[in-house]
Amino acid sequence: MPVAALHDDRARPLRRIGVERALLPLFACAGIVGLLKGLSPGLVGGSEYYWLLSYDHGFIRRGLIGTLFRPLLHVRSFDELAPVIMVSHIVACLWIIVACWRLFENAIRREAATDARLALAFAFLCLMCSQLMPTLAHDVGYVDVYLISLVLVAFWLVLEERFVAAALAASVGPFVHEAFVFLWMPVALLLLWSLTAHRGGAARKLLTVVLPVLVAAAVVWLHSDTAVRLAIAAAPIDERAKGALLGVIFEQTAVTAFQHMMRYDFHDDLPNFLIAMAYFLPPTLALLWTALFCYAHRWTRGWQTAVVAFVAAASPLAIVTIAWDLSRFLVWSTVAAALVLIGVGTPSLVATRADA
Amino acid sequence: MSVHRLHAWVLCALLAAGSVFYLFAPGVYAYFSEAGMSYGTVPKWFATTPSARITARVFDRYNARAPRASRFNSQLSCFLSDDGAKRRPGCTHELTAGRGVHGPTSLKIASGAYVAHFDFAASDGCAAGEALLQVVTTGRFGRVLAEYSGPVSPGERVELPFHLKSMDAALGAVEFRATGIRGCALLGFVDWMESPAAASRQAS
Repeated sequence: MPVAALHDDRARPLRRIGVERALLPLFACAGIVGLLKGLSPGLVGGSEYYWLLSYDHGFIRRGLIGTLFRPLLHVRSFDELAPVIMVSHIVACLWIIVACWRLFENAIRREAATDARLALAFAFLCLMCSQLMPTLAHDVGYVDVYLISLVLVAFWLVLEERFVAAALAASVGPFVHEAFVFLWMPVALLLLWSLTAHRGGAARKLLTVVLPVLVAAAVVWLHSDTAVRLAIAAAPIDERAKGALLGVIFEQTAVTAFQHMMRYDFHDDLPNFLIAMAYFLPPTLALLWTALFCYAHRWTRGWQTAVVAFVAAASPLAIVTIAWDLSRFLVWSTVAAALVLIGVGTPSLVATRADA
Repeated sequence: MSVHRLHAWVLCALLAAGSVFYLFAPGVYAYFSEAGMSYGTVPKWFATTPSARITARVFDRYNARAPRASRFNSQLSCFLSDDGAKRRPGCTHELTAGRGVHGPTSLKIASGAYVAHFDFAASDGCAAGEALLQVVTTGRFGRVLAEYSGPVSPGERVELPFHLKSMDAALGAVEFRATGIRGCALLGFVDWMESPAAASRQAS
């Protein structure tokens, strides 16, 4: 495509009513099927603590949701409030579907070529049909859906070039769960890569990259062992589970978790890890392939951008070196690949020949 | 047709085919040592699709060395929940009419041919009776894999061969059940092992 035509497309977003506009709502329904496939009938065991531990006894990791939820526990028991958690989980899942839909719709609108528009529409279908939605839907009570929602909000703000707002939105994530930084990595890498080409707004972009990471470090640093012991002791959690909660979740450090993973999980179950990777990651690769197909011809630094895209999509997988919920974290790379696909097609993030 | 257009068609076809595959595949929940699958609330015919069979096949041996299954097997009777049966010292269970035990919770094992053993003991006032012994898979796609109904006496070992198919292993958890029918039977040790015939086939 001539450079001038590309430039025109950017200047005047196309508002065609193409077949893909009709396909997107249909494809979003596939996400709802995924949700129905995975949805648990109740809270997943071991997720209760997110809702029961709060800042009442001092600052603790993963205490934000519990602190927000705590007032409800004064009027209703936790069991009575379980449907509230269930409903908010379903709403968050639906919101993720809608947010992805809108992100892809905007990406499609920017494209003039029919084949690129169709490829993006089918990439959205692939995202909706992947194991992402069943896995998210299954983990009722876990906070992954809220982390991903926050990433999507912050990413949206990045695309709108509202970097300070994005930084603030992303900084909420580590208070919910410090693993948020792994989900933030793809956006951070794209922003860092954009800094190498577009110097404008460098400080605000750096703030967006760094603030969530600093907040996560502060959350880990400020976490009080005493407070978490008191919070666990006071929480209406099964007594046998309390010890495991303290030992396995809160007394675990990144170093001990890494040692455990290497000594047991990767050592004993490496073939299983490879099987799971082979099953869960093809959608991630397909989304990256779509990114290359749709956008690589415009990038000024083609192969370097492709490498950055690959690394950014794979970056959330770093968490499996310290955590063993394998499928839960494998689908994070599918989310990352979707963000990368949208990101590398956004002229404000990746330098194009039109800019040159 | 240009190379670019051909590339587009190949990519879209692959995305569509992959999407259809994953759409009908079960939700897979994998840890490092164990994996489970579910179809939640979608129609049951999803489980008859090639996607379901392929996914079950891919993860077929995933649970073969699950530490949780080994722990259950070494002291299974301690992991059985009482449905009215009276628990006795040493994880034995008194089965009287209509009262039984079931468990363990969420046992995932690889597909294959197995034999379940139910050993019976005796205690004061609980010597012999009739019992219903079952090996089942639980959940939405659950079914009875093997069953014995009849008299059991102290010192007797009832062997129940069962074959766990790939889809049953994928979509359900294996559960052992024992329910008293008449008299009083004291269930002692319970375990399962790979069927000797299947094991020797594998070895050869």
